[in-house]
Amino acid sequence: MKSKLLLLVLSAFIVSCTQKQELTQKEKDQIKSEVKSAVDNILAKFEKLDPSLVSECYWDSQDFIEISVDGSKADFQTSKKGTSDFLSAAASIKLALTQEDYKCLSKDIVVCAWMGKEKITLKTGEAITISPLITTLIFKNIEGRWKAIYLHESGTETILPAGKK
Amino acid sequence: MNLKILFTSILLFIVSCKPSTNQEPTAQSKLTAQDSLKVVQEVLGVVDDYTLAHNNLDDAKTAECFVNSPELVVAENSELTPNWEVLAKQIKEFHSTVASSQLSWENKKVLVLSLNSAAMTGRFSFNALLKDKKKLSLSGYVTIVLVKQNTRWKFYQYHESYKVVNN
Repeated sequence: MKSKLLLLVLSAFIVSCTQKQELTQKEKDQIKSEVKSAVDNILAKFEKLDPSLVSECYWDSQDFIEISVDGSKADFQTSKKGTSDFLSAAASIKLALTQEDYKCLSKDIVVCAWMGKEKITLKTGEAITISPLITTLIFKNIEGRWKAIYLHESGTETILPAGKK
Repeated sequence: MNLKILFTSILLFIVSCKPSTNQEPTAQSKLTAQDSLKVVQEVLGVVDDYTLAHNNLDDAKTAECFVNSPELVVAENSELTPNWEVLAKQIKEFHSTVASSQLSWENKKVLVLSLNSAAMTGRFSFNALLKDKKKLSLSGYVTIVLVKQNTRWKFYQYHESYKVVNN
C-alpha cells in the first residue's frame, strides 16, 4: 500500500514538473511563426484598406493601448474609429518590412518589434511617407487567436502635397 | 522508513514546483491579484530607480536598467540602437553634455503580462540644462517591456517617441 502511495506521489511530481518546464526552442519557433502570421495579417489588412483590421486583430479590452506616430494615445474604441477613418481616407497603403524581431515571454505572450516604411496615398492626392517606421507590438493568445494587446509606433513622417511624387 | 521516503518525496515535489525567477519563457502564466500587484509595485520601483539614475546623470546605473543581451531592443523615434554597448556609450556621451536634468512622468500604467514580464507605458517630460547653457525640453510616450532576470527586473524592449518642445 505504502509503495503504491510512494509511486503515486512520485508520478505527481514528474507530471507537475513536466508541466512547468521552460518552452523548448521548437515551441518558441512555433509560437513565433504563429505571431509572424498575425503580423502579416495586420499588414495585409492595412494594404487592403480593410476596416475589420482593429476588431479582428486587436484586443477589445479596456487595457488595450495604442500610441501612434503623431504621439497620440488611444484605447480600443478610439483606435477602431481612428483606424476606420484613416483607412477610408486612404487611396492606397504600401508597407515594407526591413527588420523584425519576436520574443516569447511566455506561451501566450510575445513581444514584437518591426522596422520598415509606409507610404500612404490619400484620396485627396496627398502622399505621406513614414520612413523609417518602428513598431512595438505585444501579442497575447486569446482563446487560440493571437491578438495585439499593445502597439507603439514612431517614425519620420514626410508629407508630399497632391501632384508631387 | 517508507514514511520518511514519502515525506522527502512530498518535500521535493513542493520545492521543485516553486515558480521560476529567471527570464526564460515558461509555459505557466496564471496570475493571482496579489501576484499582479507585486509585479506592478516592483516594475514601478525599477522605473523610479531609472528616473533617479537619469536625473543623477549616473551612466552606469542608467545603463544597468537595460538587459545586457543580444535580445535588447531600444528604439527612439525613428532610430534603433544596435546593442547594449552602444546604448551605454550613448548614455555616457549624452550625460557628459548635461549640467542638470529632470525626467518626470504622468499617467504611468503597468500591464502585467506574466509573473516575470510586464509592460509599462507613460507620458514623460524631460528638461535639461546643457553645459553649453542651452535648454533641452522633450515630451512624449515611452513603452518599456520588462523581464525579471534572476530576481531583478530589466528593460528588455524600450520604445520612446517624443517631440522637442524647445531648445
